[in-house]
Amino acid sequence: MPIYSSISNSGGSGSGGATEITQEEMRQTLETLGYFLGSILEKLPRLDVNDRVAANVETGSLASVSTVATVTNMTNLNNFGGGNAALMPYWMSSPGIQHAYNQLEFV
Amino acid sequence: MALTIKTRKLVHRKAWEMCTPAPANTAAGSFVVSDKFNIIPNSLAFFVAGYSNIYRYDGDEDSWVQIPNSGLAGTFGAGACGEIRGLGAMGGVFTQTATGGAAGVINTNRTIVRNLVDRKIRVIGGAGLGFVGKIKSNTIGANAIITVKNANGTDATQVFDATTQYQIFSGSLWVQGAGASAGFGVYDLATNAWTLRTATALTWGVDGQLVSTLGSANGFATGTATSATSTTLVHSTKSWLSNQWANHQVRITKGTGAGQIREISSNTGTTLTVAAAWAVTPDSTSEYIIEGNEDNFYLGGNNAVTLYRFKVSTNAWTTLTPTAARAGAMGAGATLCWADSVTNWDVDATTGQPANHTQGGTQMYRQNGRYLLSFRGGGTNSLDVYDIAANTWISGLSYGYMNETFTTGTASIDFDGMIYLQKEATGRIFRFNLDRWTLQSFAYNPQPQGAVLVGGKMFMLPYQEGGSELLFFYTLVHTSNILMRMLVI
Repeated sequence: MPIYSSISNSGGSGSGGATEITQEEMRQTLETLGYFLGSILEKLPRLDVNDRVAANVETGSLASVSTVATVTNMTNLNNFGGGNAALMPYWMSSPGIQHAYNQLEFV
Repeated sequence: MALTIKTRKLVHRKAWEMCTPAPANTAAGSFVVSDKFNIIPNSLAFFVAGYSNIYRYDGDEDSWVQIPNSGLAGTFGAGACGEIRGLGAMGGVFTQTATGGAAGVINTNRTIVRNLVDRKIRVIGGAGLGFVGKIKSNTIGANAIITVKNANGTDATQVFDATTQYQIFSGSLWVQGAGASAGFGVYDLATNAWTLRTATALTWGVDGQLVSTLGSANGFATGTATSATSTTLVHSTKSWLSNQWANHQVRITKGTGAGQIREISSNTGTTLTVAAAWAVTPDSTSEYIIEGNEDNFYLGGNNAVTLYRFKVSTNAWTTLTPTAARAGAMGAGATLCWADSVTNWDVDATTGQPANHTQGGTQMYRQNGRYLLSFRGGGTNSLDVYDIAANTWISGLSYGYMNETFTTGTASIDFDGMIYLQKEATGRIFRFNLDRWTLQSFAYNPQPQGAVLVGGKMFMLPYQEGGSELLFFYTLVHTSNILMRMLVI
């Protein structure tokens, strides 16, 4: 038995004609939508009661992912690049010199 | 090309930049020295991390390359120190003797391994005396042949032969080792080779400072001679203080006898007496300049009051016997810096005499080139001064803000009348302003430091263009390979 939705036919001439779909097609559409929503939700960041994001960083090699560690300090963060992340604030300070270099004119 | 510097204090705060890390961590005794007079191209510095791991840093490229093993005796550690020189030291000496030559050509007995084009060269004795120019080209390998050109780039016509004595500004690194029977040697850039020199035969440790009084720095007095003898130079209108130029050198820059360099053994108000007779006696056409004695190195430290002097020309050390001994030993964290370019420390133009500068009831003079300033270290704030001309110590001078103390791990460097001190591993950096005679706050290095280590970790590289100069202050970190720099504002 056909049902009628209120979905407009965007490709129409503006006459407002309804599109006819079957219940089976509606079920499939809802299932697909549910799947998409579930996938999106899975990838959304989870927040704690203080709206903080929890992040996990792999500490094993990609070939044998066996351990994860919560990023609670710089030591864990080192695992991102294998370097000393404690130095990051100082590396990031380098752009701060631009305010002085901008005052040098080489003609 | 011109550089206009529009930075302003307070408005533009000093800020650090991270540089390419050193290939090795700093260790006990490791140190860094730089070409602060900008004599060698590429903004050169050396990091001596150990006897066998020594690296050249090119400021222009912000990169490192290793140089050969030093082969020094002893065990590298606390007390090791060094100095960089603009003069090359092929075979361990500054002054080279040609094996032959021709017009514009100097034959050598040296194995030069690199292209020395455009390096400054000067002839200080023999055929071609007085020539100052640049290297046009050179052969690579044993018994290298050097072709020279005038300073303006035209081909040189001077004739050179086996009597020609010449010096090349190709750079050298001098290193005092540490441990039992600590060695002493020099690395020459032109030959890429080390030459071991006579050592002090001491067990050397605690801390050390090697200082040279290089003639390539500012001249301290100039003029035209009114007469001369085989061992003197007279300038009759001068009124120098007695012996104020002793242990300095005089170089004839123009006129009769140009090119000759002699150590000054003594002076009166008008007459310099030189330590070795002139080969060509100057006359009233001879223009001269009085400079630091480029033949000398001074070595202090080892938790002792003794100061040692090495002469390159004789390859020999002298244990100095000053009129007044130093009041306290040079302990860990001690400094030794040559005061050679202090603003307002020039000779008074009216009287020809340096202004009297009395400290703590002891007379010293505002005379550039005459003094070695030394913070005593060992946890003290004491400042002592060695008078090169008078061979005596003036100890325990008072100065402004003398509350900070310095001990193990304090590093120092002098530049343009300032002595920069980084207090141990605290990251706190001061500078001693010689003109104002006071310790001043300068900067803070926020980089976390490792275990505190003895050894120099700071150096300066100047950028010069069109009469303007930018100073870049570099520092290594304790027990780390991190190198940081800061534009001095």
